[in-house]
Amino acid sequence: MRRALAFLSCFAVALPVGAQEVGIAGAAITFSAVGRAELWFELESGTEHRLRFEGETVEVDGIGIGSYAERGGLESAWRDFLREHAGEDASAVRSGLVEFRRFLEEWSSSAEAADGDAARALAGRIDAILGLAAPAPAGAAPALPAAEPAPGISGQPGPMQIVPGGLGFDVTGELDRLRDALGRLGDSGEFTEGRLAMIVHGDYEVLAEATIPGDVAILDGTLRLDGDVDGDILLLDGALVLDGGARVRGDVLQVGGEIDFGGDASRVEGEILSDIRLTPSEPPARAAPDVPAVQRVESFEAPMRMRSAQPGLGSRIARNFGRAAEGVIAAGCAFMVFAALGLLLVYFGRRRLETVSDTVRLEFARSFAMGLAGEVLFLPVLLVLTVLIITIPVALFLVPAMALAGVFGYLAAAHAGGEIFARRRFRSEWLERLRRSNSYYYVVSGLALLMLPFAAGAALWVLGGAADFVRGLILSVAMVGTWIVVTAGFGSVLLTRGGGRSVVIDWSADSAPGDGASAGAGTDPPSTPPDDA
Amino acid sequence: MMPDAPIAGAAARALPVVFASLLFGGALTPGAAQEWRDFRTARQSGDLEALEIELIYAGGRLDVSPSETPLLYDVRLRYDSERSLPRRDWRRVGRTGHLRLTASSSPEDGRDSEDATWSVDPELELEDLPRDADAAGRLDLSLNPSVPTRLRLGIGAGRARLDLGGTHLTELELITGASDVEVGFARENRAAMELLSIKSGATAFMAENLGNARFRRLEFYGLVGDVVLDFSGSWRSSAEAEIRMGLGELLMRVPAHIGVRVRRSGLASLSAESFEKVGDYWLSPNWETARVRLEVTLVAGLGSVIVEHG
Repeated sequence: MRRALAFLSCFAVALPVGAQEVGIAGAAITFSAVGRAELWFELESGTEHRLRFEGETVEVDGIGIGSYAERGGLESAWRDFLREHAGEDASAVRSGLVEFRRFLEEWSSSAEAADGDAARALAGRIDAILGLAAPAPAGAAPALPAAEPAPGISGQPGPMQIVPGGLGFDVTGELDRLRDALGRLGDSGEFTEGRLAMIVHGDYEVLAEATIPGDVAILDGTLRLDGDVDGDILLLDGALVLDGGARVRGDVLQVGGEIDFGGDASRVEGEILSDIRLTPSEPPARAAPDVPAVQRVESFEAPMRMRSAQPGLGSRIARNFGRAAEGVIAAGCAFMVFAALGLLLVYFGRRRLETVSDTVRLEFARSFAMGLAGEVLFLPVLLVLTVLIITIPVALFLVPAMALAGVFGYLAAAHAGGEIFARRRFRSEWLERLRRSNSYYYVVSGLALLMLPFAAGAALWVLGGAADFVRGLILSVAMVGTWIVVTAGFGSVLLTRGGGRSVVIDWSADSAPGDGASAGAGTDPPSTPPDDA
Repeated sequence: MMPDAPIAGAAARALPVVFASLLFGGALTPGAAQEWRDFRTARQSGDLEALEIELIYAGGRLDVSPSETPLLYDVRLRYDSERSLPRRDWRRVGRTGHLRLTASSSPEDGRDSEDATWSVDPELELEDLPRDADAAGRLDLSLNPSVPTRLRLGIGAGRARLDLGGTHLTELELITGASDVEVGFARENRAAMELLSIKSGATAFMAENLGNARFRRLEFYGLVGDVVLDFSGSWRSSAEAEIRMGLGELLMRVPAHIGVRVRRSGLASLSAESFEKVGDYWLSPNWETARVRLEVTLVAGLGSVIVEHG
């Protein structure tokens, strides 16, 4: 299907053959200070058109068809034509436009290349709009003789001839949209150039037994197909109608508009692939499964006797218990993993852990600020290290180092929490029994405190939807709390350089005469538990 | 074959996902604006002789049925583009076509669509399922009843109704997360099915007329929920079933002319009226004389199992 992209990057023109000449009902000429020179006119049929020279681009109906040299011969002739006919009635404007079209034909053969292309394109568009009989465009690849209408291809209101290779519509502006759509659809077709046969920019009808020898793109309007398309059809907007005799040898790709398969999609031999946006006013078809489902069921020899899919009370209770169990077990698993890491850390790096823990506990605000700064600066620093190429190894080291620092900080914060818990006096005798004072207990009890809200939130699943709000609230608080703890722990790791130095200020020493502002820095933090094992 | 400890295994695999969702707030993501789109992919059968379909659907309403047109397949999806992202891959290997369609919240959900081995034979697991359901979304899949088809479905959440009677399934693999699923074979499957595999998370699951599925082996693996397995239908040959339940109720309905032998393990209670216990087995009265037999290996953790024979 990517060949559809290819043919849209080409150009084509649709020239009316033997069509009635069309009169102009009204016209307006505009010159702007920014260099725009524009002719707007309305045909007797009611169709409006706009021919514009601006910014070295010739536009017809908002679509660029070529470029011109500023103050060159083409622009000068266009401005002269507009000035000459400003204020005249519509019929005079039409006569002038026909005359200008003759000038373009003569002038284009002698003009420089860029302006010549634009002149030929503009002449072709004037022919098409005014229904003028015209010779085949110079330089076009006349796949079909210009003097003969394409057999079986008819347009509305008159028959239209498609001339591949000529200038008509530059649709390159659609390419990005198409690429997005095709990529999302997972299109994997092969790219084949030179298959363009037709771009539909209006209403067309392909009669029975007629064949379009290539791909078709529908930009707008309607293509009614009763014959064959020996290629793909791409529908960007407008409509495609497949009648009884229609046959598409390739694929049909739809990114907009509407397709009427006439009840038989088998007229497309390739793949039908569409992805279109529904109009905002159209409500989504919620469920409403009964209509198609009933139709399908009718063909069954033995009607299915499905019970209601609405789950019963037992099922809902079981499901809620299952969710609760999942959440609680998940929290328990996480607790066990972190507890194991924490116990290992206490065993192998207790001094560092206690240093970081004391920093979290006694310098919490400072640690949090440092952690926050570290988190904010992480990505910019990583980006700089990556951009500087030579520092990429440092960047590769930085990521796991940050992750380890985060885990270390989290465990140290848990240690601090456990220590605070242990130092607290409880009225409850049962809680008093839980008070222990060594680092192993600190880590485990701190982690339990941190995981408890997650488990509690998950456990509320047993109450089903009635506890949604409370559950969400608890989980939100738990997540925010976890982030604060991780940030503070991470900051402490940074402050203490991984627990290698103490930065806890001994405030009690401040009162000592002669002591400096940094008094206490570097001293052992007051963390040694009274009955540390 | 299922692992020996399926529940524990599933829990071990699924719980990190649950925990990660809790930790990173996936469950609390605020709703976004909706933009509904219609997606369709269909294809002629042409000279293809077989088809493999793998469909991963995050949630909403899923309907699967035999097609009434000559199309090889026809998939119609209505989805919210702010939440879902459909992607289809089509490959052809010899005379076999491979269609893979994922309709989930992001390309990261489900398995990697660029995985070049997807058509080889990867096994779908519960943790592969997407977890962000489009509650009001809808997907309709029509299958050609003339083309032998291997169908693999992964349903994250929502409701699914699979009317598979009259299809031409050579294998069916169904994985459901938290869903309400109904599977029916109102007409006989046009092909003998080597394996009918169902893995169910927390669901209300019902399968009817499984005797029409023409399976030779059924594997049912249910984590939590209420399950009904109805083995009615026109049996052609004997089959075996391996059923493993975690927590919940299981009701098995088996026609009277089918001989049934159940080997049970686990803590769940078993109610099988008219069955006789012989050694480790529970035998239906016609086990010795029946022309067609169903041999069931049942492992049920907590809950109850009811076998209705007749």
